[in-house]
Amino acid sequence: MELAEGPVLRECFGKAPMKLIISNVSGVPIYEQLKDQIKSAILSGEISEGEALPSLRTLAKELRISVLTVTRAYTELEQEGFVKNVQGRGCFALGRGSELMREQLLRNVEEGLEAAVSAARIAGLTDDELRGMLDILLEEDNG
Amino acid sequence: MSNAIRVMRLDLIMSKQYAKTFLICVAFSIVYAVLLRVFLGGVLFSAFLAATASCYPFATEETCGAGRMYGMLPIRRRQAVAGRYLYTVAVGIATILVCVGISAVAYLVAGMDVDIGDMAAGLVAGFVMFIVSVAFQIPGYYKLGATKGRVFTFIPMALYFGSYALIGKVGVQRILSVLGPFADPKFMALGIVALMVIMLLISFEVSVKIYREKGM
Amino acid sequence: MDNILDVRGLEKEYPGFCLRDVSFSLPEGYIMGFIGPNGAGKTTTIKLILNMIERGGGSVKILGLDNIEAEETVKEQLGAVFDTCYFPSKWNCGDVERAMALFYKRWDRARFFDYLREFGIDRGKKVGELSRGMQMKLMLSCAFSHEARLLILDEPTYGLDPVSRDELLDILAGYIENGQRSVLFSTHITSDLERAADYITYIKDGAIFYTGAKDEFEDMYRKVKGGPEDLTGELERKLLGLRRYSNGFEALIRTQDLRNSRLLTEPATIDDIIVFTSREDESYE
Repeated sequence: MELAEGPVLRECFGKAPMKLIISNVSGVPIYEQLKDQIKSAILSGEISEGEALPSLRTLAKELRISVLTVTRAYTELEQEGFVKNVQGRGCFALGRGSELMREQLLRNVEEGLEAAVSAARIAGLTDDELRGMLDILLEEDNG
Repeated sequence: MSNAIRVMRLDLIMSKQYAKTFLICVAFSIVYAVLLRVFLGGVLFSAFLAATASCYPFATEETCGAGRMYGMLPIRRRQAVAGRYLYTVAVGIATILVCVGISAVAYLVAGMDVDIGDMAAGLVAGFVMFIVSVAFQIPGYYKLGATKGRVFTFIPMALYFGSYALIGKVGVQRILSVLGPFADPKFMALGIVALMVIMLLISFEVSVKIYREKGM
Repeated sequence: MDNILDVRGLEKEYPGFCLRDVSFSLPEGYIMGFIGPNGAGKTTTIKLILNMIERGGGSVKILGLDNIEAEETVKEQLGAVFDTCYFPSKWNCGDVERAMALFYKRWDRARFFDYLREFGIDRGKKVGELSRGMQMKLMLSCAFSHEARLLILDEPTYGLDPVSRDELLDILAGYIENGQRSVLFSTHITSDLERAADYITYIKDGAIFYTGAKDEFEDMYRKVKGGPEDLTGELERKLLGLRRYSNGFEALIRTQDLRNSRLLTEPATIDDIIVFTSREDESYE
C-alpha cells in the first residue's frame, strides 16, 4: 500500500474532477448508476472524446464500491459503444460520432417517442394533435 | 539463524514481564546459598526456580491469545516447540551458572573453603534436577496450559526436597559407593549427559505431538 | 490472473460439527467476503487455511504453494488480523517490531513505524493500553510491513465503532489497489461488505452455500411481499424463509422463479439473503 497518494481524479481529467454520486438506497443497482452518470457526462461533453476515465481501481476506491462493480460498468459501457477499454492503458471515452453510441442514442429517441405515443393514446389524442404538440416543443427548443 | 533460535528469542521477549520477579527469586536463592552456608540447597533451589521459568511464555500466551501469533508467523509447529525448549534450557543453564558462580565468589570473599568436588557435584545435581523437571513440565504446559499445567510444578518441588533430604541423610559418598564400578566420574558424566539428552528428546517429541493435536 | 488463494475440498471433523467439501478461490487484486451465521464454520476454515489446526482432508494453496508443505514460505506472504489482538498486552510497539523483525525476511522497520504514525498509534504505549480500533490497526501495520500479498481478517470489526469500521474499508481498498494483493474478510456483520466486497463465499452449517461475485449473489434473489391471498401453494413452494403475518407475508425468492410481477419485490441485500436462507431451517412442521 502506497502511503503518499494525491487525488488521482485530477490527473486523469486535467480540469475539475467529474462528479459521480452513488446512492445505495435508491434501489437502482450501483453499476447502473455509474453507467448512467458516465454516459451523461460523455453525451454532455463533460468528458471529451479520447479522454481517459479514472482507472478501475482508483475509481472503486474513491467511490468506496467494489472493483468488480466498476469493471462491470466499464465493460457494459464498452458494449454499448460509449467507451473503449485499451489493455494496459485504461478506459477512454468515445466521441459522439461512434456508430454504437449513435445507435444507442437513436434507441433512446425511439423509446421516448414510443412513450409519448402510448401516453397520447391514453389521453385520447389524435395523430395530428400529437404531431402538433411535437412541432410546438421543437419550436420552443430551437428558439 | 534457524527458526528455532528465533522462537527462543521471541520467548524471551514474551517472558519479559516476569523478569523482575524472576531475578528477585534468583537473588534470593543466592542469598540462601551464601548466608545460610547451604551451597547444595542454594543450587538445587536455583534449579527449581529455573524450571519454573519454563511456564512464562505459556502464561503470556494464555492471557493474551498470543498463540495465534505463533500460528501466523512463518514457522513450523516443530520449530516453535524446539524454540520453547531452547529458551527453557538457555534460561536454566544461565540461572544455575549465575547462582553457582556468584555463590562461589561470595564464599571465597567470605574466606570460606570452596571444595571443587562439592561444587561440581552441586552443579551436576542442579542440572539433573532442572532437566528432569522441565522434561515433565513442558509437555504438561502444552497439554493443560500454564495455569492448569502448574500442577506439574509439584514434580520438581518434590524432587528438590526429596533429593535434598536424600543427599543430606545418606551423604554423597554413600551414594557414590553404592554405584560401585559405575562411580567413575567420566563414565558417570557421560551417562548423566546421555540420560538428560534422551529425556529431553522424548519430552520434545511428546510436546510436538500434543501441540499438533491441540491446535490453536 | 492467478488465484492468490485456492481452497479445494477442505474437510474437518469435530464431535457435533463438521466441515464438508469446502472449496473456493480468490483471485489476486480482490476482496472476498466470507460470510455465514455464527458457528457455520468460518473460523474453522480460516484456521485450516492458516494451518493452525490439523485438516481432515482437502488442500489449501496460497500463491500456488501448499500451505502445509511450504508453510514457512506461504506465511511470509500472509498477514492476519483477528477479533482480538494477539500481542501480549504488556508489550509496547517496540517489542512488537522486534518480534516481527525476527521472523519476516522482508520486514521493513521504517515502514512499520510510518504506518503507526499514519494510524495515529503512540509508539510508547503498551498494547493493552490501545483502544480496540488501534489494536486492529497495529495488526494491520504488521501485515503491511512485510509485503504480505494475502490479508486474512477474522471478525476484525468486532467491538469497533462505525467510524473505525468505515476506516478499515478504506484501508483495505487502498491495499488491493495495485491489483496484486487480496483480502479474505470473514465477518457476520455483512453491512461492512455490502459495497466493498468483490466476491462472496457464503458458508452454512459447514458447507458452501454460494461462492462467486457479490453482485451476482445479490441479483440471484429478490425479497417478496404480498397479501395473504397472493400466497398460493405454487408460490409457497418457491419461497425461502417464509414469514407469515396477519396481513400478509414476506419471503425470499430466486430471481429466476419470479414470474408473477404483481407481487411487491425489492432487491435483497446480503443480510436479507443470509437471514432468509437461515430461516429455512426454522420451519416448524
